Amino acid sequence: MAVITSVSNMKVLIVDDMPEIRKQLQMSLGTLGFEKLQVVSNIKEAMERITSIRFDVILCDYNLGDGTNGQQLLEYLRTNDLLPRNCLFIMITAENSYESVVTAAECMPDDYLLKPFTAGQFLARFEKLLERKILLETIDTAHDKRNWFKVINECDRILTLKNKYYIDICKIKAATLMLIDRAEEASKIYNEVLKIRELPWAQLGLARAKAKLGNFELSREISSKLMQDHPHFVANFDFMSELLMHDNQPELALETLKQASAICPSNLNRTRHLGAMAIANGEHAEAEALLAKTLKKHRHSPVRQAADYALLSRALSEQNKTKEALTALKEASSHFQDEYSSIVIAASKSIAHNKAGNHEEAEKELNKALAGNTKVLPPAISAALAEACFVGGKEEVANTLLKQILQNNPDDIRLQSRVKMVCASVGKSISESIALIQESSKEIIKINNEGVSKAKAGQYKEAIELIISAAERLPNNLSIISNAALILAASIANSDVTEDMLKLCLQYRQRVVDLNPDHPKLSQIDSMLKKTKELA
Amino acid sequence: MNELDLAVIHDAKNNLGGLALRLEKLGNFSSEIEMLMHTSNRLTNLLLWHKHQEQGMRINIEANSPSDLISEISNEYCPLFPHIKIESNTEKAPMIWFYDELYIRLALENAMHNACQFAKNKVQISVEESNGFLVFKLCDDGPGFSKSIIENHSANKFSDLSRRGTGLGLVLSSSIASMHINKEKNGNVSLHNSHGAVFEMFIP
Repeated sequence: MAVITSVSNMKVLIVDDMPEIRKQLQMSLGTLGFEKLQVVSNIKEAMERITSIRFDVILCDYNLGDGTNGQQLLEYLRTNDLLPRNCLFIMITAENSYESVVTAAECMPDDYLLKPFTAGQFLARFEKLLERKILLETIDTAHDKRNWFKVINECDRILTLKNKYYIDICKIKAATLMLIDRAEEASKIYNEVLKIRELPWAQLGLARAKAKLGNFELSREISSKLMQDHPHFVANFDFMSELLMHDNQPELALETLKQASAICPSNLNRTRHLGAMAIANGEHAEAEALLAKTLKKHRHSPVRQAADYALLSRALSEQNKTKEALTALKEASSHFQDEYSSIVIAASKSIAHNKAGNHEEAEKELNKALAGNTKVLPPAISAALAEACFVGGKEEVANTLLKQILQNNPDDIRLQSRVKMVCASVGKSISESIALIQESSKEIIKINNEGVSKAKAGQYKEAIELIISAAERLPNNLSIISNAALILAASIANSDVTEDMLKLCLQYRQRVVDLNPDHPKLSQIDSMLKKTKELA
Repeated sequence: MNELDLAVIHDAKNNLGGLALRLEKLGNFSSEIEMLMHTSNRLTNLLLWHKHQEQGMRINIEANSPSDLISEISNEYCPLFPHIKIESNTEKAPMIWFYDELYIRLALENAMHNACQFAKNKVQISVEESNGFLVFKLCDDGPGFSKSIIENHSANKFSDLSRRGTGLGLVLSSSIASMHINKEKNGNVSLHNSHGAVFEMFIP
């Protein structure tokens, strides 16, 4: 009974809307020796506890009443990085909700339990979950620290054991490789899994990897077949919609997303995306209905965001219901005061004021939104801000913001489609957004070429100035960062060395290693640095 | 069945589960707990069967450990049938197989209950790979399946209301198995007698 003694210290959160079931769960876990139990009845209370206490286990019922469910809680926690990876999230489902759970499972719980179950049944399952948790501990810890290199190394270590978690670990490793743009390696793993079994997630993973590598034809083929074979696998619909946006077919992209939303209506990230896409396609009344319904349903729930109100206000403004738009934003202001939400709300207010003809107020709100450092905003916030800039006549600022999204996330078709949606929402043609996307990648090539040729000509000072200013602006652009490290290393090897330069060079080099330890430029950077050492 | 029927059955099923939990807390009520959980499972079967008839069931195939599943089920049933010796054999089990664990578990729990209920002293549960299928096998040392159960099962029909239940669990298990498809092969359930009842579930 080793497990029973070890569970006494585990912090467990039970989330269930039915008082009787809460009592039963509490009782049966108590019988098993769990001593640190907390019980809550809804998402809001769960969020409050989770943000202040680090739980080992969350036992959550799928159905939480009032149209809310455990999947929404899990999605919110994962999307906002609020759940440590080694916290076990167990979803309790009834026979009638199990399919909804697995259909929606873009982010999966650690396990499902079918109601009702005895304490004995729970313990048998829990022991297996603990065993897995212990084995994966190093991966989970590295994941929480966003140390992707370590995650991959640990996956490799466990993969050599060829144990029962082999496929699980392949999934984690491939997803991590995709995160850091190592799509070629990820695609090898997906293929390896697919040779063993045609699992939908591996097929989708492969389709995503192929798109990342620029092979859109193959990606489309895999995704289409997956749609036929697994017509309820909604994550694939989301991806197909991205592919259709990439192919500049916004109407079809919207239709596909609508189908996904019909299969699984409770996913809020998708609802947001659908709302934005409907607005971009001119379906303002539909967007309004969708967002108003969602916000009404989640009025008291922390899973809603300022962005939801912003989208609603956008749909309303486009229908000249600017008074209602501003009311929605006022409500948003009362709930969300953090920096990013404030930017989104001010940007949306600016649009509503502009549509109402109140340009002075609009300008004031837009300046408020632009007041902070706009270079370090998350893409969704930059996109909202760019839209307000376009409406407010600040074309150049808008273009800069959009380019920043594109250049900082090269080859990310999801964000490219986001940029296209922003452009469409403000009445720009598809060819204008394509031109912007092309210009963005040309700029990167130009900066890289100029930097390298200046360095080759011995104009290190100019080369460094150029590349560092780009590197600081685009910390995720690997081609810029690797060139910054290389130019700095060349300068150190061939002209003056300053401590600051060396420090900066090593910093960029590390960033390259973090993003891709096999990056081809690393050997060049290192041989330059070696030369420096020899000189010293 | 209409919405009301379904809601009442759903509720009754959960209440039986709640009652089982209370008894568990009081201790020494293994056969009562088993009876409650089995009745609750039968209601789950009924609800699932209805769903399957109305809109079909969708399964979620993932990589799982068959040995773990067998050991969990035998650990679960040992205390519920203290007079039955449950032997599990996972020596020939593959490390990983692909199936919907929640539904397969439900099917095996149905079979396990039947085996334990009709066994004299012993139930054996095992899992192994054979000819491209994963085979879960449950044998008991009881009187075996009646001729009509075996015939009805081959014809994919419910049994007449017999001593061995309605056959709903078996029909549901067959449906669950056959929804598992791999390389154009479907899963299935086979019943026969050999010194007792033998239940085998084949998953491709």
